[in-house]
Amino acid sequence: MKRTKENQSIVIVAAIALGLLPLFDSNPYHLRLLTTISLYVVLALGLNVLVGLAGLLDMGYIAFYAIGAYVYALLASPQLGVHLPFLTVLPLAVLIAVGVSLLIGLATLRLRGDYLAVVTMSFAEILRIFLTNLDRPVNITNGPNGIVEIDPPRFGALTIATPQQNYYLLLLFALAAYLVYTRLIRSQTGLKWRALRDDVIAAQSLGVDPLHYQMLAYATGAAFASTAGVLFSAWQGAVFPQNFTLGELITVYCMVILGGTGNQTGTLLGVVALVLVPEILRTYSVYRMAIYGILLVIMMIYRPQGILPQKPGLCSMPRGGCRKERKVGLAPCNEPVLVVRNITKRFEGLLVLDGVSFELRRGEVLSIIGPNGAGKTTLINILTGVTKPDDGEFFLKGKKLNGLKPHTVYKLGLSRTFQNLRLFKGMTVAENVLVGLDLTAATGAGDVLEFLDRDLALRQDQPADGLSYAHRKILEVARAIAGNPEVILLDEPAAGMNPAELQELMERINTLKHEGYSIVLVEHQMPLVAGVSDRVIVLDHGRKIAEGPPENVMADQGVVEVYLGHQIPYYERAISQLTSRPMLELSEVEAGYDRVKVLHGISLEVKQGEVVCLLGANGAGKTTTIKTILGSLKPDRGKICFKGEDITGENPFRVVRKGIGLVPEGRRIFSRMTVEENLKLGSSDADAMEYVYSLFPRLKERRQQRAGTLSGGEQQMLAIGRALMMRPELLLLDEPSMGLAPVMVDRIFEAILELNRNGTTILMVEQNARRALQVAHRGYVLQNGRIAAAGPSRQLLESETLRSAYFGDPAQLSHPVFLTP
Amino acid sequence: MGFWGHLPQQLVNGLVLGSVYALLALGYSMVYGILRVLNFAHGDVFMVCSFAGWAALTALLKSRIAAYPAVTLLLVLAVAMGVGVALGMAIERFAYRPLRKATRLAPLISAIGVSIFLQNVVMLATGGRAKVYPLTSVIPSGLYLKVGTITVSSTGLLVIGVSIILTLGLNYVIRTTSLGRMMRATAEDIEAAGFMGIPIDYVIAFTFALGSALAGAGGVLIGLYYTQIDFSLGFSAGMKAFTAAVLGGIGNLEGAVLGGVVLGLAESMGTAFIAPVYKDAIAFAILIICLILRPNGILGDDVPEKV
Amino acid sequence: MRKVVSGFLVVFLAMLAVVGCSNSGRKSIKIGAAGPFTGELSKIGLDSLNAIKMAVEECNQSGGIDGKTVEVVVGDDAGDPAKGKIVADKFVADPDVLGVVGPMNSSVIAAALPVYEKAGLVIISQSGTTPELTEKGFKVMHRICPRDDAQGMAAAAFIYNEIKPTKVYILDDKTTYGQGLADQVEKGLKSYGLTQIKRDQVSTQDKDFSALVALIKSYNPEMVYMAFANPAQAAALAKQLAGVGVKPALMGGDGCRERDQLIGGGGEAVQGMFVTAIGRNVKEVPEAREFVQKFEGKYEGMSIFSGQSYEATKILLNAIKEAHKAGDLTRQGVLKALHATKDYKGILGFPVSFDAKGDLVGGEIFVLKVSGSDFVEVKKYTTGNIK
Repeated sequence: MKRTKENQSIVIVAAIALGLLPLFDSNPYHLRLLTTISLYVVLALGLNVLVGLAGLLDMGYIAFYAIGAYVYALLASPQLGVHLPFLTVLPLAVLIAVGVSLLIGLATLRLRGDYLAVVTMSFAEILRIFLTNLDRPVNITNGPNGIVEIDPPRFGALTIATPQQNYYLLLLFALAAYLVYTRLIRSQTGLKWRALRDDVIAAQSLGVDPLHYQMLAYATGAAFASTAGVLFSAWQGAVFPQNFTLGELITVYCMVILGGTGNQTGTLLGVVALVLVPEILRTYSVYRMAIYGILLVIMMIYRPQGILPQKPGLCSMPRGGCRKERKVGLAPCNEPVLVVRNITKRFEGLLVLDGVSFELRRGEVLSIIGPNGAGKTTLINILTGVTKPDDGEFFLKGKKLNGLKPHTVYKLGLSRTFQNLRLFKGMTVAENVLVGLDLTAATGAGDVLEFLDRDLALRQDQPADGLSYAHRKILEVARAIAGNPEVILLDEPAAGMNPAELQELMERINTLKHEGYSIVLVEHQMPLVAGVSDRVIVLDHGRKIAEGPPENVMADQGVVEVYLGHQIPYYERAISQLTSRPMLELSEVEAGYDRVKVLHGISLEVKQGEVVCLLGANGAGKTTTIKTILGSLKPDRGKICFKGEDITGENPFRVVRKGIGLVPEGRRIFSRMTVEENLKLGSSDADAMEYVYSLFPRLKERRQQRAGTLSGGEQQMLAIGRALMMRPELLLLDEPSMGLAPVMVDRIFEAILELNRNGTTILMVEQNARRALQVAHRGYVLQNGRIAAAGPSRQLLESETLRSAYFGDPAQLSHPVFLTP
Repeated sequence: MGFWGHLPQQLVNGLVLGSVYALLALGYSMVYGILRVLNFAHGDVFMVCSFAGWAALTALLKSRIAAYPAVTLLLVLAVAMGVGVALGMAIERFAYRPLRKATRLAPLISAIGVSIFLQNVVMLATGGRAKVYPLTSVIPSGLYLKVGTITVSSTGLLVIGVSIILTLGLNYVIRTTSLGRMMRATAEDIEAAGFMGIPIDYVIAFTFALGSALAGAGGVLIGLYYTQIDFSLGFSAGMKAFTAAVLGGIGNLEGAVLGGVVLGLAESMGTAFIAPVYKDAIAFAILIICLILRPNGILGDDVPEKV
Repeated sequence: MRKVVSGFLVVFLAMLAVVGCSNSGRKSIKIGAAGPFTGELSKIGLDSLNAIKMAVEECNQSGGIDGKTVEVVVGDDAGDPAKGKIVADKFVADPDVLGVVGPMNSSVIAAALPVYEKAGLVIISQSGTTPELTEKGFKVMHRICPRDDAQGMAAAAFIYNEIKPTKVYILDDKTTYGQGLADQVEKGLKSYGLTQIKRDQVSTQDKDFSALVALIKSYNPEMVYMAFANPAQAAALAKQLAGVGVKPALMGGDGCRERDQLIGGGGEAVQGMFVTAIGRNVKEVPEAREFVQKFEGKYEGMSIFSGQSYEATKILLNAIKEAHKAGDLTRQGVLKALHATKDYKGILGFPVSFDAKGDLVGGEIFVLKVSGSDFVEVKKYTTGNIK
């Protein structure tokens, strides 16, 4: 509040100063410059709405300017013999421009950034070509020779003719534009634009209709630009198609980008700089455009946000208010509020969800658990309208949701959080919440935050990006409840949290439950699931295989098997000759992404000739470990040695050349290339290829086939073969059994055994613990980024440690268990 | 002569034009396939190489090599392609590589900046005036091929011929060499390519080099065909080549060639039957319609976004 | 935030002070030179500018005017009407500028005239040939070249009488000049009874004429007329026509009368092409010998407009001297004096006077033919007497 008053007084002072200027300086040249500045202010602010607020790279913006200019030129000049007054033509021109912009907005709705730029640019060029050529057969625009002798602005008896008069007229419009822009940026519309700009998917999930807001952005931009066009036409008295080239647009873009996208004061700076500096350096004016080109490149690389960047915290919507009690207990507690029936979904031939059905009752917390790839996030995406199911239906409070868009689903009362955190980075804490806020509820963002987390409420005005990871996760939840939804879908809210944070999260979810929210929780952290759920559903390979209260479900053998694999007989692995020095050694490795620490000090070793497996629940850090070894993720601390050489933080392509091969999670073969070409990517070693073919005769049969046509198991073979082509000494396998039918899993593991017998050392990450331990010499169990247990496979298989590492209490972690043979 | 009478000739005209667009479109597709970035400056690299070719041709004609037109032509092509490679790699290194991890729009704006810069530098260097390709010294003028009602100038034949050779050459490199395999792998899945030990930075640089070499050749061909070149050549040719690439499905090399030919034909026919002055507008209109109705092009495939 | 805003206000005002420094009070006598000094036509423009500068130098060497030296203010319009208007604004805003030589392109003149008219700043164009420029009642407009109605008629007469085609294809480049001239030629041919005339347009940036070439080929005219301001374009089209074996008779307007770009650029394809010229080659005029020697000694190239530009400048300077003598060294005074110019004898080979509209009284149109590396005169028409 204080800041706004301060700013307002500056603007008033500046306005008065500018208003009095002509009394002291009547030099027509100076006035001309200032009038030009006013013109560009209007033009640049309009572009700023599109680019800075709404994030739409409209490269055709100049077309609206042209429309404004030419409509006035045609309706107030000798060209058509029509001489309408200024105030009649202005709204007409704006209307036409807005109409055109809506067409463009509609047509380009689904286009991504660069395609949008190109299409809008084409529109503008087509317009310019028409302007240049509509002089034959009928002379409408007078072609490249332009329309001259345009009427000056006339208001009744007053004609704006002198430089002073023009100066004041345009100054007035510039001030008006500035004020309008400031209002916009502080309004709810401005907020939603910024949400769409930062993250379309998150914005949609909070009820922001992209169509509505994009069209609004185009219309607003067009209104600004066409107004500037009318002013240009009336002031200059002449228009030509050459005034509306891409070069002109680039100048305006430079003003916006240089000054700071989104920031109206920055735009002012940019306009002033790019109007005055070329005048001062008139002798170099011929180099102007070349300099702008380089300027753009340099700005993008070193300071893309401009001189005055857009600060978060602009929105001035209400913060406080008193929080009304939620309407609780209006309906009987057991009435189903979300009904899901028979949802089926296929991705590229793979069955991700297979006839999943369940009901969520009012005030209940229902958890969905299941191993990786079981289809949980897909389910959430379907329920919120992001993806369409191939079959099945789902209802919210009796209303069918199939086919509805995400923003509609939100408005009906179903909201969600995201597995990979999708906060609006350019906004403050409070603003994030405001995006989803239900304005009729008379609660403010502050209230929502207070309710959920007092600590967070204190940080209302801080940028969301600066919070700790746990706070950010909570913020997403706060944001999701701002619209007073019936049902909230929480997608792995506990990922990356430590036990203390987990505890707090549990409390919050319980608070929400008591307030009457119905919650679907997708999670891997079993303690959390056990602590808050009323019921639990287990998904495996897209099918629901268990349902019931948490204690029952988690004790169920079938469920345990889903995670650990079937109970199978154990084959004694002969421990071959092992050298004393390990081939691969990790010491106290810590690593993470985006300020979230995933590995909290991992130490492990793999000796030559061994098969070692790395086990643990999803999110425990298995793949992160592999990435760190390979170098695609640089560790924050710790050391990684391969054959005695320090490879910590080396680039993957160097690590690979030292003798470590990777079979990535999900295989990641190159489906458009043939089997043989995939293999040749590793190397052209003919012997290696023979070896691979002998190991996997099926691949040899299909050597000229496109890899995308192979079955899942064959693709896994190809992935392994591809890594083998480089003759690695150590082979890293990430989830080799994922997505494969049991028969294929057998075959793959047989091959792994064979490989090891032939001398390849193997480090394998697997979710299917029992299967993995069957072929391994030793295993490590990861839990929450730490080694919870380690030892020879037989001991691990037979101990309770394994089960508790997946299902147990993270507080037990402080005592890792090391088993001995 | 009527529509059908004109048709074959315009088809052939379109083929000549289309083969130049195809060469450019290949460059766009290759770069987009790997980096998912529109190399806006590609058209201007084409333009710069056109001038490089002019300079080489003018210089060579003063020397003794002028007596051997075939050799002269090959040298000119080589110089232009060389300039293209150098320029393309420089642009990648200084304007795109620093932005690889930035937002989607930053590389695009940077590309536009490079484009503006190149155009204006050349404009300043040439005083805004066109340069004439001293054609007749290399190719005897008035030499043409006449088949029925269709006439193709010798330059036209040359353009088609060289384009075919280069396209086949590119195809060979991509399909059979190991570098080509690496390019295809990187284009499909850049992360997995890294896991395979493929040196991503080198592959990207090489892709730019290859695409720019083709643009360089295209620059010489267009100079020979139009006989005049100026600094504004890049923008319109670039947009059209981009249209061709998108038409065929960006990232898809067969599509780029198909798109180039289709666009060339559409432009030729449109010019003949609507009006020459709306030539560019027709090309842009095709681009807009294509991107709106079928953003993945004729032969392209879908790239959905992960939630 | 407050610091930033006040900071920028300070800087802004300071800049304004700096920028404004040089603009106050009449200190010298200036004439503006408007023309395409960059861009496609820059060669022609720069050759003209040199001539203008030479004329002003001579004036200054012999004492200047009113004891002051005359300055040339350069206004580059690149042949673009939009820029021409900005140049006009600039000249008008400078109170020392008393007259303008140029602009050279008709479209630029058309765009700039309202600005010059409003300020009463006189212009004298060496090459703006479109008839309408003097038909709209603009007092400031003057030119020392014949108009395109004369040029078009002469071309039509020549085509009809000497070439005798049955079909003619007329092209223009959408400039005011080109369209106007083409219209006049068409009108002229129709008045002779020729009916098979086809009109088409290209834009000034066009380089790809393949589609147009196909159209011309199928129409099969005996004569192709190119009303292009840019000789390089005519050369390119001629070459592309020749490339597919199409060889009609070719003719261009005065814009094509240029050696380097038309003949040098066109080579074989333009041999035998006709162009109309709006003045005699200044090298063949005895009164101009001194000028030619001096100019070629000082600068390298000369195009047709060099002589015209020199002449125009001298006429303007003369008018300024007259205005000074009459005690009225203002824009009004200069305008009056220029308009009253009668029988001025300069290097054009005939006395220059202006009629009430500002047009040149007298004047000749020549038809030239490309032969070898230069033009040869083939026929002469006097304006007012073309059959």
